[in-house]
Amino acid sequence: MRSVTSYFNRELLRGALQRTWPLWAAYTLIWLLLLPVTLFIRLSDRHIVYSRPTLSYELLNTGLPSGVMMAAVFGIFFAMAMFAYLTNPRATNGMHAMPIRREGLFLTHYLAGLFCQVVTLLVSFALAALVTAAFGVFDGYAVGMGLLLCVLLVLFFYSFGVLCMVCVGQILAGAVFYGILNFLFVGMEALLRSFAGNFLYGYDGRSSAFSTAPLSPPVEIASSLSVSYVYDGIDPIGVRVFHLGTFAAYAAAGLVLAALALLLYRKRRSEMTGNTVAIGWLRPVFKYGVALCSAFSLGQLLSYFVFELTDSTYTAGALIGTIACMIFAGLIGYYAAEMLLKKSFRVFKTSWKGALATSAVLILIGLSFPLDLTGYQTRVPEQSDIVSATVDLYGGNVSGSFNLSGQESIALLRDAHCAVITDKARQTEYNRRYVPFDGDTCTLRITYELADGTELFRSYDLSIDEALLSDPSSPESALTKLANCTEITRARVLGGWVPDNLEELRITGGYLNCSYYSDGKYSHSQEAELNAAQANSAFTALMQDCAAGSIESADLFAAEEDDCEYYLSLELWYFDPSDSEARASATKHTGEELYNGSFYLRVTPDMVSTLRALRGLNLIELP
Amino acid sequence: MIEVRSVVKTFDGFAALDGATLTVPKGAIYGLVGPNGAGKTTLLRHLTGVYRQDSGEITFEGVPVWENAYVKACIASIPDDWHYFMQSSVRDMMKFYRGLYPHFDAGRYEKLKGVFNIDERHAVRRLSKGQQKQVAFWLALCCMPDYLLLDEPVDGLDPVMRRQVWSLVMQDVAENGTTVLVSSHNLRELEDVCDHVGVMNRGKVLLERSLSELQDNTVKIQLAFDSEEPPQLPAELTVLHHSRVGRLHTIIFRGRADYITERLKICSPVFMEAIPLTLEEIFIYELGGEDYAVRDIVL
Repeated sequence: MRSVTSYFNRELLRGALQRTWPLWAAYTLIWLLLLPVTLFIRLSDRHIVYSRPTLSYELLNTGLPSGVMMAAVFGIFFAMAMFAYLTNPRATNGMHAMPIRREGLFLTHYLAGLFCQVVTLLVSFALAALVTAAFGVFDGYAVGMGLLLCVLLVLFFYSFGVLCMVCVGQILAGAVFYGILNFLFVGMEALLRSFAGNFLYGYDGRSSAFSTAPLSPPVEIASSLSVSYVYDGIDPIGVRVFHLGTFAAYAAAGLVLAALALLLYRKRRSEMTGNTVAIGWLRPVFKYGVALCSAFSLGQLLSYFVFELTDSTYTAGALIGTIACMIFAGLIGYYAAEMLLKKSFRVFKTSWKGALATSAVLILIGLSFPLDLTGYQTRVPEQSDIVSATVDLYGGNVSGSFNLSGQESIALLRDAHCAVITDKARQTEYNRRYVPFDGDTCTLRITYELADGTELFRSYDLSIDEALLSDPSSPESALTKLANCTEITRARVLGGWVPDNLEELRITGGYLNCSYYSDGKYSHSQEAELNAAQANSAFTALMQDCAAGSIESADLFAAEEDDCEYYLSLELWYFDPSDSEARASATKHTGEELYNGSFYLRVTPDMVSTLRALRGLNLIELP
Repeated sequence: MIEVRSVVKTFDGFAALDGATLTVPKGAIYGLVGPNGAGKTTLLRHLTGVYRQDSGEITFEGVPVWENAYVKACIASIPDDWHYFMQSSVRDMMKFYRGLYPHFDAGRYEKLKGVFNIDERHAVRRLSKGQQKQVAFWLALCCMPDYLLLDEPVDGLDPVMRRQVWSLVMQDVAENGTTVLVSSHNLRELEDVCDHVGVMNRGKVLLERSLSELQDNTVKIQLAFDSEEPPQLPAELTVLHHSRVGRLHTIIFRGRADYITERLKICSPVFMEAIPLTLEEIFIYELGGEDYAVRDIVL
């Protein structure tokens, strides 16, 4: 007798399609409603006239998010329907006794699920094409691109669902795993960031993008969806979809997941059906994974309720409490997973070693942050390693984001950063106080751009004390020096994003606005547009003020002005000849003058030259 | 010929098969008997390619069955938990089998309709357990298998239908040379149909012989002696079981009846009669040494 290879069986495919027709019908119905029916209703509305680009934009901009949702939801539904036999011992044994190899069973069922979804998409998009053609707004690119992207999404999500189903022995476990794994990495990163944010001085993970987003497909795909019009002058002539590479990459990943699922299926033991996790080596991964997820999610939630209201972050008490909560929650997760795996409540005697290991790992993780084993909290780059830096500084009369590239400014920034690090104990002490600090607060966020191309980001919310300004080693003193450095001063006057080549700019116009206050209440305002000559006169005076230092000093302790008589703002338009890209798109504004940038500033009473120049223009009544 | 050589299979450290070895000759009807948990069903699942052994070898005509679609196409099995699709009718299941088994005989399916008398449009899940078993037999026999593997096959069948299906199986054996391996607790029934028997316990096949060999090798002798106390029996005789009512002794010996009665004559019994053992008795007394003797229960 010879061995034959059977990788596909037509009857098996027919049977699979026959058994899952209700799901297929529901899927098709929803797609028909989403696409051709919706398009028909919109196009039939005589009150709205759709141009071809507008309809294409609508189709892709609303159709693609629906496609992501449909692929993500029905991906697991079809996987569950096709591979349900792997979750029932009788069905598993029955199917595996049939004269067809495991590869044949897998591929036939895999293709059956894929077939259902792709055929539905083809029919829906074909009908959508017919509807748009009937109304004269057919766009082959939009329909074709929509179909292609939806098929790619189906390929990924369905393959992912199949992989989940192969790995489990209970049907609901497949759906739960699929749901969790789709968001696990982003979720865990958020939880770790939250933990680090509490116990790592200078860490703030809230502002940066998730580095694990690509491992959480719905998050990454949703953020990658981008459709825009293609213009010919002013009028849109079509649409364009961006990030096609992301979709292609996920489709390729789908094929890899399908191949992985096949490999696992071949190794999967029939007797594992009925178990929560059906692949032997995945069982410990599942157990300890659940323990860690539980520790960081439930544990942190518990610690928030138990400790957040009575204590604050960075303290030893909060740390010990949080670690205790994490161990408690981690052990709950560990034993719950063990019970699911062993299908018994009697797991405590036999699995204490794993529980001990879980606790030890959690203690290690918990302590590694505040003990700063990696030197994260004390790291300040060497001056020579810093190419430039961006400082976000908020406090007193300083507010804004400032770019620093001069050696002097960067040295001051490093001094301020070192002072803040040295001041950790005092800041922790402020934080520990249950009664809120009655002094001032200051926010400092630093982004160093380093010579090796990397970035270093630190964030501090500081409690500052005016009495310590005289102490040169205090953060209060160092930050005040930094805030009054040349680069920040100029940026405070001219705005944070003024080009470096101020001398080369051609001032082409401007806008003046003055709001008047009486007894602290708004009274009225005046405004006027400046022509090129007037704007140049104001700009020259402004430069004189900057050179003479006739501007308001940065003061982190300055009180909010509640008795000012007026608020004078000046916007100057300029043309930057070095900005070729902006130059190309420069818009004609007044007369023959062009502008491709502007800056906005507040004219304070210290800026005597500027005020004098503006008064001399006699455009508005100035105090 | 089916050959199972030293097959070991463990589930979470428990050895369900612990070096099981058996040989089913071609064209034989082989009865696999054993107590609950002996490993019969596990062995049958290995033979159908559902389970993969940890070690050992399982071959059909010398070819391993694992992931061999060609070998499996020659095997039809009826497990104790026969699988059918929830929404399927008998006819749907027939189409499914027809699409998977290359030798499926649609003509035979039509012929057997009259035998089983089940409406083929009926959903299988709505049939009684016995009728579902009949459907399993119906389809299995239509696969025209070289090997028919049956696990508790007539459970749930009424006596008439039991006879009917056994008759069909015997017909297949006679006409097509089908090899049948049947696992059952109904030893009385096996005795009527099997020509070979294997006894399993604790994952091992303790013995396997032809039925006649087995019956010839074990004998039940009823003896009565003059004296109250029986004389010493010849030491060379192997006693499997000994019971006594008054002066009447019933002793199960391993060995041929004529040899044993000849040897017992030296004990001068006043009465001696050799009674053939049923398969059930052989099963019970053979397993006696494996702590499986029927114990007297005193209430």
